[in-house]
Amino acid sequence: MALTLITSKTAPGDADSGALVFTNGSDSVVLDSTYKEYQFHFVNLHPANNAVAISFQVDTASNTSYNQAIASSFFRTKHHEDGSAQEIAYVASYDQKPADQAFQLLCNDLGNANDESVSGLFTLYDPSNGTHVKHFTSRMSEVHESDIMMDSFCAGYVDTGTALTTIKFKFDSGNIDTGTIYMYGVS
Amino acid sequence: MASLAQHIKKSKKNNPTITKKVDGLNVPLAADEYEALIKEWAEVTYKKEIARTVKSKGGKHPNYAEFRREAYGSIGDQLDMQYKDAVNGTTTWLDHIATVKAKYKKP
Repeated sequence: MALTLITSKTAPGDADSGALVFTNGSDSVVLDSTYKEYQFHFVNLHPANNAVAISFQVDTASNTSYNQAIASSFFRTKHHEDGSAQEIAYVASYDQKPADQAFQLLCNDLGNANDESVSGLFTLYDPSNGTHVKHFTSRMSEVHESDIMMDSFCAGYVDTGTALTTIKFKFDSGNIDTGTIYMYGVS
Repeated sequence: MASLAQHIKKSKKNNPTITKKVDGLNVPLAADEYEALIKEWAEVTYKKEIARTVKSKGGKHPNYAEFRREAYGSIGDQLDMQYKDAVNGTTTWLDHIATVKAKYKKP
C-alpha cells in the first residue's frame, strides 16, 4: 500500500464558512477514480466553540446541498483523565439512518480549551463508483470538554450509487479555529 | 441553563469573524450570512446543553434510552447487584433500575 499526499487544508486560512471542503478539481483536490481509497488525516483540529463534534457530509456533481443519505453506527470508549471511570458504549444519538440526511458526527463534545483538540483518520472508499454505496470508516481521539479521553469509532456508507465529488468537514457548531486535514490517495 | 440568546452571544464572542471562499480568496460573510450561521451554531450548542441538563438532573428527552443505558452501569456490576440481592434477600438491583427509569422518562 502506498500513500500519495494529494493536498492539505489548514484552518483558519483554508476555511469556508467554518468548514474545510475538498472538491474534485478544485485547489489541487483529486476525488475521482484515480484512487479506490482516500484517507483524510485530521491533525489537532481545535474548535472555536465548546462541546462540539467534527462532522462530514458529501455531495455529487448534481447536488450541492450536503444532504446525502447515510447509514452509520457509532461507538466510543472513554477514560477520565483523573482515572475515575472507563467505559465503552454505543451512542445511538450519533448514528444515522438514510432518511436523516444529516452531517455525520465523528466525535463527541470536544472541548475548546487551548490544549484541547481532536486528531484521527477518516477513510472514504471508492467515491467515484457508479454502482455501489460509498463506505467510510473513522476513528478519532479527542479531549472531551470534561477532561475525558475519548476514542470514537464511526463507520457506514453514503447510500447512493452516484459518484461523489466533494466532501466537507466541519464542527457542528463554530469555526475550526486551527488544525490541518491532510488528504491522501491510497494505491 | 443559558438561553438561546446567551448561546448566540457566546457564539459571536467565540467566532468574531467567519470567512468564505470567493474565487479562492477569503472574504468575510455578509452581515445576514454571519447572523444566520451564528444562530444555526447557537441552536446546536443550546440543544446540547438541554441534553446535558436532562442527563444530569433527569427529565424527558429523546435520548432517554442512551441516558438510561449509561446510568444502568455495566452488565458485570448489575450481575453483582443481583447476586447480592439473591444472597441477602434485598432488592438493590430492582430499586436501581426503577430509579434510573424514573429519572429519564420517555418523551
